[in-house]
Amino acid sequence: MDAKVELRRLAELFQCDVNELAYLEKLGADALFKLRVQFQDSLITDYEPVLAKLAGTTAITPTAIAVKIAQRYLGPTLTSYLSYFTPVKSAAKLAAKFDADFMIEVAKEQIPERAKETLEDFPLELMRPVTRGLVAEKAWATMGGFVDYLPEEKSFALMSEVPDAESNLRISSYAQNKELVAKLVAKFDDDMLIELTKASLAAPELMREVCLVAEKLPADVLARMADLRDRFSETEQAQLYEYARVNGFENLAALYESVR
Amino acid sequence: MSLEAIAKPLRVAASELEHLEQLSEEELETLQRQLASARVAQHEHVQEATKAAVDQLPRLLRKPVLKMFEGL
Repeated sequence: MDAKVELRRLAELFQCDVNELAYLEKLGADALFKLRVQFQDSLITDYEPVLAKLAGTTAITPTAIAVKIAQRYLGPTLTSYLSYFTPVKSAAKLAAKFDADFMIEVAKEQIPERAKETLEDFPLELMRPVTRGLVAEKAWATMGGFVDYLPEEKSFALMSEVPDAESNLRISSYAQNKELVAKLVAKFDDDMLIELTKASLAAPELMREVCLVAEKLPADVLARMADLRDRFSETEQAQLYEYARVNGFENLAALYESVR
Repeated sequence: MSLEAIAKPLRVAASELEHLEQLSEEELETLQRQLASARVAQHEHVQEATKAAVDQLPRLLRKPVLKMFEGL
């Protein structure tokens, strides 16, 4: 796990700048993950008595009516909280009937660790508009959290809904599962691989993501990237090499070592 | 400032906070402040959502429904 990912997620939760949490970095990724989950759980615990009672009512309400109540009256925040107390099958059944716009708002409120089973059951075709909506709203933290719990085959299928390199990197910066991100990147064509690297040159805070993902890329993709080196200026290659070398990312450093 | 003070807003026992032991007194204080502020913000968010939900109901239904939502 990457401590910086957890710090970004905590900053989202605390609604503060990630730099304000720099003092926590020394705790390491596992401790930060535990702190985040404890805090998220505590918020749900606060509402448990009321929500469990309400969810009980939902369980005996016909789906069509429950959908109407959720969309018209409860709204995305309460619906999201209620989903944690609704049996997974029922929650997935309800979610599948929500309007895409409503589902996007619910998704933004979800705690990924709690949404894991719903993500597994949620129909792929309904995930597409939700993914597009989340990209349009730049909900990177939500999407990054989902990447960690989305079944692999669904991630592959949803790739096409995240069309640009920068969005992919921003989502990745909130995802712990870099192995999965690397598998997704391995499916990119050459142009997208170039675009991805260029995006990190344009926004240096994303260079770390490219390096982290490159560490997990299979040899054949690294070889493809090596063949694409001449699509970058010497200055760009030197910039990539220096960053990778200084921060200990061997794969990317090796890739651009020739400009040393 | 002790771990006890952090345990309370996290709704856990202090013994479950071993992962925070490296933090200094001052850092624990900062963390407690940040946790408290995030909790208040989240509560306000839920309360606003509850109010918005109840406001859409016919007047007669609002009181009994609000009673159901008591605690949010």
